[in-house]
Amino acid sequence: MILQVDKIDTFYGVFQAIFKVSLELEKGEVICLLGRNGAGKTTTLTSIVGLNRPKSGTIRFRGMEITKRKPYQIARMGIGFIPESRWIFSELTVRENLELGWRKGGGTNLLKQIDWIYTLFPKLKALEHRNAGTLSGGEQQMLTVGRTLMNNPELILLDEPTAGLAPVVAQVLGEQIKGLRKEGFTMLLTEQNALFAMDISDRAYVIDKGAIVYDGDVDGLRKNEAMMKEYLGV
Amino acid sequence: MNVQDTTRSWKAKALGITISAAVLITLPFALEKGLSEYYLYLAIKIMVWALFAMSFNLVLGYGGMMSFGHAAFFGVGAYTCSLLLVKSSCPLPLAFAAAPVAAALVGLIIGYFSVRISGVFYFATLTLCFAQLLFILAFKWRSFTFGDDGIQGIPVPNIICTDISFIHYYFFALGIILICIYILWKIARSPFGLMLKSIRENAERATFVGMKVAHFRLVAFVISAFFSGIAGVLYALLETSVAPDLLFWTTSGDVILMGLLGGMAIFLGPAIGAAIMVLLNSFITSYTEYWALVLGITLILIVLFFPKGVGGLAYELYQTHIKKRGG
Repeated sequence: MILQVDKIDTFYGVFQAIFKVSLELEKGEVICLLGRNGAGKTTTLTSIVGLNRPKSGTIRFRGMEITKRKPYQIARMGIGFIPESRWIFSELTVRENLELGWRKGGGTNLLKQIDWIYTLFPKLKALEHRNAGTLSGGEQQMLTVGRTLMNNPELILLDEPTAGLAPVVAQVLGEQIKGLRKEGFTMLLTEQNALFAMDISDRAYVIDKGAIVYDGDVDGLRKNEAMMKEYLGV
Repeated sequence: MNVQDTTRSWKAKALGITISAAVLITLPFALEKGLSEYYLYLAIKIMVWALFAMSFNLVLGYGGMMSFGHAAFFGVGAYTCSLLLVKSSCPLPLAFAAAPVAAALVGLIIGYFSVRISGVFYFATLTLCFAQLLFILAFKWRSFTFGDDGIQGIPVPNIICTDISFIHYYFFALGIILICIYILWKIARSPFGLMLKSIRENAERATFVGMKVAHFRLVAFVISAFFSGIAGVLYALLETSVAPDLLFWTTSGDVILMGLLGGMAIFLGPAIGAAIMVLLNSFITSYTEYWALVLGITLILIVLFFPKGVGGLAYELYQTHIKKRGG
């Protein structure tokens, strides 16, 4: 088991955002966490990466408890987080953004790693000397994904990667995320676009009002029309 | 970039270095013999302040930390070297080496408490408080620091003594400052410099890339304190005296203004700011007793109309020129 989230409760002040959320992820697996806006998807991810510390429950990564670890420690352990809001460094160039994602001593070569990212996202190669702040939304999201991959993370958390992108751009990015799956990356993905997410996932969780209401395989969820309609609007 | 462009770029670099070297070598003779030794003194003063401003820029321009207490490191450097020379007859190389180390240690202590605090205002206030604490110490501890009299007549070896000529001291200071600037340049261009820039832009994002933000900030703070300490020593040896004013908040204010004037986004920007400040300060005072007013208005105008500083403006003009030439 690469990730084990066990009954976590996370609060924003006095407001409880998620209730006893549990999920598990095996190495090489891709799972999606689905739900409507405000259901608790992002809070679950930010709890895992240490941005919002759960009040109770435990999170284990590769068997080690990370519940109380700091975000930089969690990142160094090998969890890459790709937030919805495209966390690029706008004043730095595309290449500099990528360089930042690389860690010395991680067993990889910087130049080789950058070349690999450019083969995954050829568009970034053409833009490498441009300031990241001048890129389009889709390009910025590609850059965020690319920078996260620079560190060869063992687990990637993607928070609605296609949100806010034009349909054509979202489709391209979606294909690239499918490509990551083929490369064997372990991913936990949240999406409002349930059909896209289910298309690339092995298993699915559905969250509603901060609690998990479905945990099972994707086909099972597809067949559950009532759940698809009630919780996912599909 | 093709081979022809690379060759052209190298030729341009070599030409730039040759011209700069020629100017720096002939400058002291031209100033002292052609004008007066006061101008050479001013040139050295600019160089010393330029080093201080560039050291400070590692913290503010690269790291985004608004330190309002950098006078502490400049002052500690100046006082450490001066006290060692005056009180213990320590050899200059040893006193010189001890000063930046002392400044870095003070930087480590101040930085340890300050870098953890989030918020520009609190960081600025805490660094200011620490610096003022050191100012009070230098001002009140008369038996050790000579209080508000400061330390006068710092013994400087003949080889760099400024009694007869500033030329020897110019080359002494120039050598040290160029080495320091080169090191600062390497730091700014290193992965560490890149990390600092990312922290300046968004510390939270930097954390998720795996950076221990407080650690990097502290390292930058200590490095900056070290080089500020060297600037302090060079200042003390130039003036052959130090006073508690060096540790006062106005010194921290001056170095911030130098950064703003010259432009913090450009590596040499703060050095340009230092030149403007020292020259304005020196020349306006000889014309009017309201020099502070004139200086203030000039600063406001520059900050208002050239928000990226004079260096930033020059760089933008240069870029426009390059683009036009490129087609």
